[in-house]
Amino acid sequence: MLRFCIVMLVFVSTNIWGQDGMANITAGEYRPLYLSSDSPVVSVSSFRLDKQPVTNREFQRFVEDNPKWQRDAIPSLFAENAYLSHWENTSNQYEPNSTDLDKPVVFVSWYAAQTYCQAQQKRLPTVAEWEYVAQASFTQKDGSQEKGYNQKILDWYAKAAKQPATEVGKDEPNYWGVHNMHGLIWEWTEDFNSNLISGESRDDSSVNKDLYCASGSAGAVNPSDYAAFMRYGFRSSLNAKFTLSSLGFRCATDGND
Amino acid sequence: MRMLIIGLLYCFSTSIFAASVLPSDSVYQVGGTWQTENNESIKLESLAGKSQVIALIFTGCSNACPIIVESMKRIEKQVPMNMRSKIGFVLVSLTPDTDYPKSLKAFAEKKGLNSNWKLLRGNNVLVRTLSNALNERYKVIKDGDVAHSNTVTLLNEQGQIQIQASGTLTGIKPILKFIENNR
Repeated sequence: MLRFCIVMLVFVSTNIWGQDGMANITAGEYRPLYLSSDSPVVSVSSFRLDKQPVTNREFQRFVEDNPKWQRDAIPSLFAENAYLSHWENTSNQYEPNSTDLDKPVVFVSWYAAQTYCQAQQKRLPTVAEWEYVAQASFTQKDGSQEKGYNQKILDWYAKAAKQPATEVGKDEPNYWGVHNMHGLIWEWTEDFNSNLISGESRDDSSVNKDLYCASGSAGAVNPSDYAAFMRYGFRSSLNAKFTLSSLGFRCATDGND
Repeated sequence: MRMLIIGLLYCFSTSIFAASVLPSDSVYQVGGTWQTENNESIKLESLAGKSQVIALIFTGCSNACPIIVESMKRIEKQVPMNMRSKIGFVLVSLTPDTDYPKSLKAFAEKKGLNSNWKLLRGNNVLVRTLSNALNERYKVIKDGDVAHSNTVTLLNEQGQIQIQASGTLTGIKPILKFIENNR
């Protein structure tokens, strides 16, 4: 009986927490903050998400296998000059400082992040997927109404952007067992720039009339969720070749069902 | 014998050179294999060699896309005779999951597009990457509907962006002017 229980426990825990550093995220619904309360919610299918952001160590391995993505070889179409500029030039190649190996890789463009994930047979998470996981608190799938939770995120946003000082995975994981969704870096998403556009470029009434300025917050489901507003604003200011000191990424894959 | 070796080396080096000759900021760096409306597989870099007027569309589009296509046809009409063979026209599908070569072909016929035009279908990652390379934005809203930038881009023979303009009959004037000034 005891053995059975242990087997079951192992079975259940691997199912919930996933293996190979990825968490299983079960399907659910998510209401983007810019939609009004009577607009349909976005369904998120089950998927798997890296528990931690990609580290310098992991990205170095990718760059060694894919020399085209070396700091001095990457086509300018795919990254700004600052690409991997925090790596050191040692004996004709760039590599991360040994104290940064387990810190999240930053100064990477969307193209580099996207290609890294593809090389792992993964992909970048969509905005909806990322936000769905990010709204979880330590104990609930949806922590957005949890007292003090948003404030905690905002406190981090209020700090000046600087090179990530800590290694990945050192914080308390959220409901899904995922680390560092808040408090360490901003992250690329597959469709980061698809939020503030006009439907069909002209009469896009249904798509984004609620996005603009005052109407954005007035029409939003949860106007108090400033943290989410800031993420939307930040994402829409990005260009795929940008490389920033506080912007990294993690990868996702489709779910099993 | 020596000449032969030098000749061989020369051929060898130029073929390598040709493969890497794309400028660092060429949109064709996106690469990948794409399907045409004739169900041929082509490399993106095969568009190099002539200027291309390129836009992202989807064939199920009822509002902006027909205007984009009409604007591009206007450009085609106004290209000076001596430059007609030097400028191609490319429409890339934003909805490759539904825009099969057959639907691209039907779209081309419906719009009366000649052999100067190519309609391309890639996978979703390639399309998103190309869209970003062209500084365009899009979002699949629901089945078959896409919100997208309404932009037409002129690429030079090496795939570098020359000028971008809004894809309306008046919006494309800067492109017409650019072609006129560089004839």
